[in-house]
Amino acid sequence: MRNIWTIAKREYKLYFMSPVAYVVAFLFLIWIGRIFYLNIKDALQQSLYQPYVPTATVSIGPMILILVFTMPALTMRLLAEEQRSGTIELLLTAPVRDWDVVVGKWLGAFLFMLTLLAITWIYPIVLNMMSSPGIDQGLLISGYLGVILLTASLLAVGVAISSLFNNQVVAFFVGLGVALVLILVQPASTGAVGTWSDIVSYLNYLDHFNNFYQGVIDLKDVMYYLSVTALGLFAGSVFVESRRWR
Amino acid sequence: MKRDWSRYAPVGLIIAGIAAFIAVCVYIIVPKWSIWLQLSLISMVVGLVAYVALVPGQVRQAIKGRQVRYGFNTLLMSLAFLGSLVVVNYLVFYNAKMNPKQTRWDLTEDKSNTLASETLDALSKLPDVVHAQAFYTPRTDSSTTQQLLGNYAKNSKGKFVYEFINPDQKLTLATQAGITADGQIVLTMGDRKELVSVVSEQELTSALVKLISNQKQNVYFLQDEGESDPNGTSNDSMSHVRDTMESKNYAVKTLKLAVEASIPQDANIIIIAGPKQPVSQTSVDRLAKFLDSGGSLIVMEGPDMLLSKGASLTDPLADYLSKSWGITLGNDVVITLEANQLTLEAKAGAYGNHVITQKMGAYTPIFPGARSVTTAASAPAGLTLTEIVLTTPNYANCFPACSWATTDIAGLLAAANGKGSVPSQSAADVQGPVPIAAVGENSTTKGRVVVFGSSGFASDEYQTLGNQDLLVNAIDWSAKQEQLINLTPKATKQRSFTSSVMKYSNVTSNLIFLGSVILLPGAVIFAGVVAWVIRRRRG
Repeated sequence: MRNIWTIAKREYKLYFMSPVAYVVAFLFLIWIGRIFYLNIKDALQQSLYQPYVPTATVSIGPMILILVFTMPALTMRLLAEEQRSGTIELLLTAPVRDWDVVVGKWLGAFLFMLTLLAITWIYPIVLNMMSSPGIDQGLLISGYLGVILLTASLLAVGVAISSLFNNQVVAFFVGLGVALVLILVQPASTGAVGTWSDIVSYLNYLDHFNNFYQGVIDLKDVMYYLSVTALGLFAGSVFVESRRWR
Repeated sequence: MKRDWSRYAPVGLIIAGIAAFIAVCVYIIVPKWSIWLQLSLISMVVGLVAYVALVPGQVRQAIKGRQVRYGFNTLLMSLAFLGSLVVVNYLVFYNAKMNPKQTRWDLTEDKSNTLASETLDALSKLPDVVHAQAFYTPRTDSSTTQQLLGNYAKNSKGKFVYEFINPDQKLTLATQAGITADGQIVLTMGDRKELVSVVSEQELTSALVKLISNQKQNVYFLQDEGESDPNGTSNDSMSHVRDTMESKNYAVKTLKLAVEASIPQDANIIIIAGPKQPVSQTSVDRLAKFLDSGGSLIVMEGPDMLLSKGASLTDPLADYLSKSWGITLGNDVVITLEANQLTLEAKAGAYGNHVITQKMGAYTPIFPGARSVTTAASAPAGLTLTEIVLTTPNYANCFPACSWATTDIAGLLAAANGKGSVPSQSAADVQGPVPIAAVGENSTTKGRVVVFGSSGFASDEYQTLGNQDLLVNAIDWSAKQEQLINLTPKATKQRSFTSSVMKYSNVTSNLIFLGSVILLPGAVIFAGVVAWVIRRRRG
């Protein structure tokens, strides 16, 4: 556990020295900020005719699309760069398990994203100050929980993809492709009866986020995203471990 | 010289690869165990067998090799891990389906994602699977309905299933289901059906309760004086209404009151749909007793008799309704002026505040021949009277349409016979909007009356525009079905911007722009530049 934490701390600090991370953070915040501003402007106009305040999820919804692009950008160098520069061999001969390396790198990226998400709390705080009697805090908590779980799972997938390649750019584009498939390709989940329909509905990646977005925490949605995270990290450690005998 | 066949081994692999690709493509195109799929798979196996047969030594070495061993171990480990995840997810999913209360938490303040206890109770009592078909075109927003139906399904333990159907693409299915507008839901349980026109938890749960209810209401259509026949086949029959009522668990029967000694004991509602002759006084007396014992009566009487008999018409039923219920069928005929055309077809322009018409907002029923139906200014004791359907108003310039009810019946008849023009408006006429339907409810006897000033508006000829929906709603109200369920109302918090924000809305908007688009992202760039400078200084 200590190894994981050591690697995570190192990776977290490295992000603050990396220009890519600042660019990602800038684009993330300007995207969310612009949409927040447009929503508030629109709401102020509507409020002239009837009481209307955007919900607490005004800043959460836009995050999903921008996460699709930020995740591959943050994870592309995690293992691909190590493999390209040859430092992966040094790392693997150190007294750390492959699992420690993968999870540690993921955790570093996850902590960086948590920092970024913490900054975005300014928007619901401002909205709460502007409205009476304040925003629905339950909706805010469930929405952010959903985003955090989604982020964790996308990062794990990104780490797994990064472990496959020596080239960061290739890792970025493959990661972007996979993220787009997960977010945009949604099998029909109409609620029709049948085992196959249940399976297809359950595998719908974004469907599980909808409950969080609407203020509901469902155990199966939490389990789904934790499972995707675990699967991504497991796949990453398998790919790293396979280097020893490939 | 011994031929070296081993150099053809890669061909076997290539054949196997191509055959596998073809098998996948064939299955995607025709997802069946077809002959082509079988041939592709056989070819794949043959290719692999050929490869193994031609280079057995290489294959043996590969299988025993380090990579294959480690790879196989990794594959087993991966399958085991994946299997564990599948099992855990299945257990959580199954538990969530069976015990949604214990695995699902609605954090919203007004519990907007939580169904009312009455709804959960109804869902738990479903004796059979209820299939909900939601008919929505892409033009109508279905997100709220999807969420609502999803909640019903989650809390039903598999007894409530739903699907969305685009009526543009499946017109026949929509017609069979009785859909008359976009955004309606049909609930089906066995051979019983309920239509939900306005989608809300209240309406859906009411429809569920009606489906569950075993209580059969008996509706009798009077057949004494040439009234519309629910079992007929002509355009002025009401077979479609009959089918709809039977699917809602009503028993539809006919009654010849002039022949039978009394009204059947099991009658809940009597419908008089367009009598060609006045109902006899004897029948009216029996109907009065029926109403006094808590029964319900629906009268659909247009100006047909008035036009055929004129001033000599004696109508005991109309007299009874006027004297005992304060509901008066006017001796007039509604005229509508639309696009410079005069017509005797009235259109609904407004609705009164009543449960029969509260769901009719999207519809504009047409009444082929109508007369006024007015309520007494001061209702008789114990009665609640409401005018529920009114025609279009009498605008000065008659746009989009205007209407009034002419009392000059003789003039109208003369115009119909080509002896003069349609009487123009006069002070004696009933000015638009003309009430053409009214209801009365007796709080003491619980008797209910619905009077329409039009005879054939719900016949088989008029199956759209809400005509039959209006009559079905009236029958449901007459059957006292609207109070089956009253959901505990949810306290919804109304949110608004503070007064200071509204007072300085422009400044607020600009401040938001400054902070969220410029300062915050700008701070990130600044931090990045500072980090870069520090790194450079450190070398």
